[in-house]
Amino acid sequence: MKPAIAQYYPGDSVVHRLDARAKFVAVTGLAIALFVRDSFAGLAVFAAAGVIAYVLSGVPAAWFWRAFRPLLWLVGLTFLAQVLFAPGEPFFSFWIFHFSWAGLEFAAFLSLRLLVLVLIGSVLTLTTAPLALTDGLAWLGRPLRRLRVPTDELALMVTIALRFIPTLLVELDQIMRAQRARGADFGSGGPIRRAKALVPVLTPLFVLSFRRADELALAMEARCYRPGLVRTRLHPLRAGIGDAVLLGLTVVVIVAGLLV
Amino acid sequence: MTPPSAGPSEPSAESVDGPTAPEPVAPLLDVRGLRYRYPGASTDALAGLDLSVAAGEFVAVVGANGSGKSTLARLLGGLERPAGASTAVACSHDLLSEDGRMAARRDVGVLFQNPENQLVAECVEDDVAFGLENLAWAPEAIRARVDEMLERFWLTELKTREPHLLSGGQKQRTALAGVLAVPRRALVLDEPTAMLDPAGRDEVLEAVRGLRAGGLAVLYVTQEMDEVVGADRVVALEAGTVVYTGSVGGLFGDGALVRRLGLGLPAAGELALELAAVGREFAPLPLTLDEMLVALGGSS
Repeated sequence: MKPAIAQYYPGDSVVHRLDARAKFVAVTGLAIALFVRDSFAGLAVFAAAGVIAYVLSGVPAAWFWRAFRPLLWLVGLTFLAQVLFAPGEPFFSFWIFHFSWAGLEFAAFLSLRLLVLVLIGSVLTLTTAPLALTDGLAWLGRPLRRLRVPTDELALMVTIALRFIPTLLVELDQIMRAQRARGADFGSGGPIRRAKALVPVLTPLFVLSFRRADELALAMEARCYRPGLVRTRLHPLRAGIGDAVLLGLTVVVIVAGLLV
Repeated sequence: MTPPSAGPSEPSAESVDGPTAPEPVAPLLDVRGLRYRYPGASTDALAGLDLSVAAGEFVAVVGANGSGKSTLARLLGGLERPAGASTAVACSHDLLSEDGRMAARRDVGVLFQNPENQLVAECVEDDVAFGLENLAWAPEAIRARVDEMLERFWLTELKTREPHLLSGGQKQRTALAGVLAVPRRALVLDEPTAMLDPAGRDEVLEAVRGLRAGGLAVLYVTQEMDEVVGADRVVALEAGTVVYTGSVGGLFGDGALVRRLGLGLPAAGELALELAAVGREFAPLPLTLDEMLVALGGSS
């Protein structure tokens, strides 16, 4: 019962041990380079980097597959759209559709680019605990504090949201069962009717969540939480030699990818 | 009903004598004429309440719903601003001032009823660390203290477990470990077993019993009369004031008061009353099954 974005495969590989900030910067850099570069050769360099990271991460292929699966539709649609509508000398035409070699090539390129992007992004989310990731993002966002953006508070909010998602799902399930026991029907009717059926479910869920938030806030205050205070962490972010190496290698890969 | 094993099993002989005369030390929790009213309410939730708890003392608080027990817990923890009081001191911090309340939050721990709504972090050890992180302890010091707490509340094996995968008792033990990770001088427990199954209650009570050794001032709010047995003293609230303070035996011996407050008796006491109705009298009223067995064995 975990959302796809929070999928994390606990492990102790080289990739797992890298600092969340370094990984995030590397992945962002690669993603940008991936979109700037528009040749198969460049794509191959980034794909190779992604595959090496995947092998080093020790994460089972099945977990990667889970990250890929929901995106296959998108990849498929992108491919179709490009094949059918791309310009170029058609070798086969049908009604408004024109198939050209250039179109096919471009479609393949775009699809592969998406897949490589998902691969690289998955290495980040699969090997970095959500908490470390939010902490890392909060750290990277620190310059925004000058603009009075409460980055640490936002990071804590994300952490709490992630922690309560499973709790809320259980609660939602209980409410739906209770409503079903009293004759509610969530499965039939058109989309509007089904959406309407959810109102009596969401109302108690919201009421419960607000009460929960009140109590949680009180419990946090009782444990000396005050917004704006400097906090330390049990697991502080620690960047080391490995992270410097990662960033160095990333620069090499980006340069190579852009030049080949 | 509650299982007979659920109550603290300490002999109540010492508590029957009432509080043992303490040394002349200022009590850790001390309030006189404490008043509080919720915004928009028409009556006071606390209407001039007097209470004091000394270091090392374990005081139970009972009373019907709405008698002010939870409000008292929040005020003592520095979590709400009293409407007024002639004295309101928690661990030598003045609860009437903003600074005093902030300081009281450090020294007075509060454990709430619903364990689910007290856990903030994504795993047990991070949650235990939360209070220390807020106080900006050094990571190494947090690590050592968290390990100590995990050990003390039998959570070491669960330290990387996510909160939603814990049982009720485990959640409440995690919350207790988190409250006590911050070094406390007083602890207020607000019905910590009310939402737990019997096994979870036993776990938490076992942990609570272990607190008495540490010299903490403990205020234990409960609706379960079996959990009152074994306290040094019991305080009964009605409509925001204290209507009884004294020994556990003294409270349950006053049938009229117990009925008026709607409290009920510990399981053994209820049984003794049933037996009295068929001609088997007990004096004094047994409050635990052990006491009842002794009483039965001694006279038959």
